[in-house]
Amino acid sequence: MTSNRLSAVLAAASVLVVAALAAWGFAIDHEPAGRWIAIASFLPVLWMFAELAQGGSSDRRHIIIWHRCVIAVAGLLLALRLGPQLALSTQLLESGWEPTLRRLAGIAFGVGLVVWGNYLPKVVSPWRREDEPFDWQRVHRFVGWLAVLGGLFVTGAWLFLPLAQAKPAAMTTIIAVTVLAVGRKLISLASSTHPSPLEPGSRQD
Amino acid sequence: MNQVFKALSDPTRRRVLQLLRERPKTAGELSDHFDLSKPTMSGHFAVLREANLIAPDKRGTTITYRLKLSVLEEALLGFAETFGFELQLQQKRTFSRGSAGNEVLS
Repeated sequence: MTSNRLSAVLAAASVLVVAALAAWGFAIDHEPAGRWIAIASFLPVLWMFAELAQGGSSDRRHIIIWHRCVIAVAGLLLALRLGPQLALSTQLLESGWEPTLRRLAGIAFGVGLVVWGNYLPKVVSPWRREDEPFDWQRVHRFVGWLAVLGGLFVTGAWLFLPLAQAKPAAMTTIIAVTVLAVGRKLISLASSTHPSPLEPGSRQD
Repeated sequence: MNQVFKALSDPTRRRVLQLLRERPKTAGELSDHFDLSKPTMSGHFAVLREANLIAPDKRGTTITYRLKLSVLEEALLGFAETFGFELQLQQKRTFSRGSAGNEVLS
């Protein structure tokens, strides 16, 4: 199976699992219905936007594959969070399992962040060197290292800290990683002398 | 993974990766930093490409290479740089001792 098709299958499977869990959640507890609709529709909308933004260009197929992988991993993490919650609320699992499940979900998130961060610098820029709207390589290397270190810290926090301290420690780390990553990209965009890829006349084939 | 280790074991290829850390460079720009023939440099680029550590972007007759290192591979490059340097020093010491011994013998 080609990586193009495999990424589509993984993303679709992930979207379906999350939709099934949202339907299960809705069947258990109707209120608020908007919550379940938002959970079920978030990933498909994001995926549709990602596909449309690439304009079907074959030159940027690897970027589309990358976006599908991100959607598949996001769905997996969402399912890891939702599944145990629903299993506990329907008493499919005894309440004694709750601390263990919370820890496992946190560890899975941390490991996911490490894997994502490790691979991020391998994603090749879709633009020509002279047309890049920001320093793609440096930004992705920075964010990759940040995500790997943040992911290791989150995994460590859920493994070794008491539950009451693990959640705030992990949340603080994730917020710090996000702020630094967005900040680094904004700085690179602001200091770039290249035209925006959305401006007319700029070449990106 | 074997291909990655093979690619990182050579000081010239490690230097190529270091140069690409700054920004993407053309094959000509990279070759200018080395006193090696064109076919030799092409061989090094091929090994790096096979290990998926660099990505070529061919436009007309120009090939631009971009770095394609994961965080783990970059950490391995760091280790290889450190230990490679140690190894080179050790080889130099062994070589100079060997040369001295030869001189004494002769």
